[in-house]
Amino acid sequence: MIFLFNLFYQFGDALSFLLLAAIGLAVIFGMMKIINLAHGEFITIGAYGTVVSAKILNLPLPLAMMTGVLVTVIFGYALERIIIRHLYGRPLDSVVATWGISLIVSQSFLVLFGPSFEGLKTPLSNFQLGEYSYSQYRLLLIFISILILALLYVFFLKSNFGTLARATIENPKIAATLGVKVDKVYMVTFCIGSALAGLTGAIYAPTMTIVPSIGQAFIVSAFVTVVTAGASPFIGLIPAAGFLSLIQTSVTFYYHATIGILALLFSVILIIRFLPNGFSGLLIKLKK
Amino acid sequence: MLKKNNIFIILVFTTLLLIPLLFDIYYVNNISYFILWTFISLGLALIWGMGGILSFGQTAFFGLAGYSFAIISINFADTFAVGIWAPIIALLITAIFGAIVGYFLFYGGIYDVFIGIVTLAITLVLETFMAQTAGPEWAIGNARLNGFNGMQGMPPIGIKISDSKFYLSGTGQYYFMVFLAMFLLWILYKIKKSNFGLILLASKEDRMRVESLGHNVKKIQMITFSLSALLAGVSGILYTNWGGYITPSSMGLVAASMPVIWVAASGKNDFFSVFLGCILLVYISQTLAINGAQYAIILMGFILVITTRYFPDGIIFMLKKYLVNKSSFKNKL
Amino acid sequence: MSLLEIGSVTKRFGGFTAVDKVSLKVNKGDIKFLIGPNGAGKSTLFKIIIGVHSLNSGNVLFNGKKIEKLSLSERINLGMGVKFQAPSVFNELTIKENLSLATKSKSNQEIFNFLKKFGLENDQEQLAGDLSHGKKQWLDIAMCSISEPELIFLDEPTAGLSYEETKKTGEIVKSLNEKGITFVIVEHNMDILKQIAKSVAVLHLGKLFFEGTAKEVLSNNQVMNIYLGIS
Repeated sequence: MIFLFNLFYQFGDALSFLLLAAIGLAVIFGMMKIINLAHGEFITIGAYGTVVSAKILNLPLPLAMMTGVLVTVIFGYALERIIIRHLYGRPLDSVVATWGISLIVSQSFLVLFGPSFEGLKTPLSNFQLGEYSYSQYRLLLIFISILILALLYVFFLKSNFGTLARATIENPKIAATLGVKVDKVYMVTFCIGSALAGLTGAIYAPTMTIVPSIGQAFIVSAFVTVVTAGASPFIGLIPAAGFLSLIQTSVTFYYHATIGILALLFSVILIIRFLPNGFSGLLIKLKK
Repeated sequence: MLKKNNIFIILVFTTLLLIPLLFDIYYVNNISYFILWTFISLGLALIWGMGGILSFGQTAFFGLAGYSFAIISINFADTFAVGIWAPIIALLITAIFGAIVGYFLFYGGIYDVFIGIVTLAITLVLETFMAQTAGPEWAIGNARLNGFNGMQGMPPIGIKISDSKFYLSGTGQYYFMVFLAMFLLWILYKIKKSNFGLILLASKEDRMRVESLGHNVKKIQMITFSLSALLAGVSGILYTNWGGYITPSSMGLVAASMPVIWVAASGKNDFFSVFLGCILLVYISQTLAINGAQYAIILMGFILVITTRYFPDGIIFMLKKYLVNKSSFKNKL
Repeated sequence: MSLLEIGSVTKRFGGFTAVDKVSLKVNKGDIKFLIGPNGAGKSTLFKIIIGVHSLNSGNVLFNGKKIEKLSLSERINLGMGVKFQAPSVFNELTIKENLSLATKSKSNQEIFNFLKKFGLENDQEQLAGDLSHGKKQWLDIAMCSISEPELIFLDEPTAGLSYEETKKTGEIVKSLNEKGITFVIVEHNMDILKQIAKSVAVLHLGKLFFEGTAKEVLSNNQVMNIYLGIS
């Protein structure tokens, strides 16, 4: 029984990590097809925003997290207006430009805040089951990550703006002829993606050491998950994250963490080769 | 009649050839370091500028070649001419591996951004794997892989005939690299003007149409990918010889981005701009790194962003065009 | 033996049958038009023959040889030429470069003479992207015919062309046909059909509805009704 809970916790922890890492990128890359190599840095900004407002402005944690998200949105907005908006439809160029941005941001954080910053205590406490102790917070994250994804699904698939956004992104020319302000729709969608990435940083900030490269830990997982999710990120994200965390958890269980990462990377190579439309493509095909 | 563009190229190479006569050996070795990175960049310019395929795998082949050279030469350290045939075999291994990856990508129907993701994944797999080979059980023959610290102590490139040593180092190494660069640039320009090059360029625009004209596009792309891997391998082996070591970090996330930065900023569509741009950019980042590696990297980041936004043809290429055109006194007569 | 034989070819996309047991024969020297309303399966059939789509059942024989398993470029090298619906010339290359991609053996003089047929011989160094729509269509046709294949497929070659340009296209096809090249042409335009068609096959809802000479098809009320959407 305890063994099962242990497995559930490990699996859920990996799952929520992948989901939260991917969620902002799912909007920006999965939906808008912008390859945002600065995604990790968005998460870093969210994390630092949270920690700095908690430590220096002495804000309570929930407010600090909201501040972290807000800072990230402002950054995302500025970035979109100055650079990203010129790169729609130029995928290879967006790779190069966003890589440049990621270098600028990560190194600037190193210069501004130094190699590490005082961290926060993980909220809630640990509990003991058998010979292991578990974090209540990280257990909570499992449910929070699924909740966020569900909200996103409802927003983009059911709400008016969500449908408008999806239609505009799919065919901006036609949307323009229907009077849609395509520019604004892209901008808002990008800001939503930024907010989500900032949220990931804010949520994980109290559980990690605060270093300028904190976002790097997320970016590989984020891309792997979004690519595996496939053409319709909101349908494919949970199966993708589930599949990948299953692989990562079991491989890490039998070998160790490095091999777990290797297994993840191999999986994404095989998925791109044999399932080019990802899990959402597979699900859509099965539904037929 | 010499074209203005060619005069510029001749000027640059003449300058390079004169450097050892004007500067001391420390300076020469430093410039050698800059030049050795040009080959991996030329390989990327081939597959990306001409082929339209952005690969993040160049550093994987760089590392593969470097490690292969180290492993083979350490194992046969006392065999005759190991400094000649070990690098050659390492290059062959790299080219074959490049062909295999190319086959997997193009015959598997993987294109556009997914090539970037898959090749980056392959590079990271190699880096992650090599970084955890620290224990003594990780050895091929006599050569321990040494995990994160990498390999050292491999024999130099060159040959020892009775008591005379002809090793690639110092001024000899410098001239070898310059002449190799000249030779390879000549070959690349020949490819660009050939039928093969035309098919590659057209495939960048419309793959299906090229196939519908009877050409086997997948095969041509695979061959090109293998060639660019080979060029990356040249850099890898020269690097290993230059410093006497090869480590997994040469295949890390930051290392993988460097060729992309150099090629994008220089002008991926022109081989000579890439050659010159790479030298200048490595020089700049080295100079800045003395004052703080973070500033060098921040500048690299800005160069990338500004180039993409304002100079999509590449800064060096546009500079070259400007200089070459400025020197024409009579345009139309 | 016919040059091209399509035997009971069927193609399904999910639950939708785009081509339903279609059998056709194309004889050497023919100019066969493939007509039918939108969605009739013409383009799909065309893509199956040249190898862009796979088929679910049936076979395709070229000069008596089965070609279903061959790739697009392999089929082309057997002696086919193809022009897709939208003019797919290489905009970033010159006209001369476009053509040198299409032929392995022609000399500059031969290319020049060939281009005269299309009125493009003086524009050789121009970028294909700068050409007018009509000239792009002709360059596209030039590219698929310069190596003098036995069989050429044209998918809506007159799309977007003026009346005059359409007539000229018909003349170009006719003169190439006189040199021995067989044509299969997917079209909507009845003028060019009247101008040059030797035989016509009508597709409707994925099936071969009617086959005959141009005159027979044009005077067939059922066919005209399908075309005008009444049926």
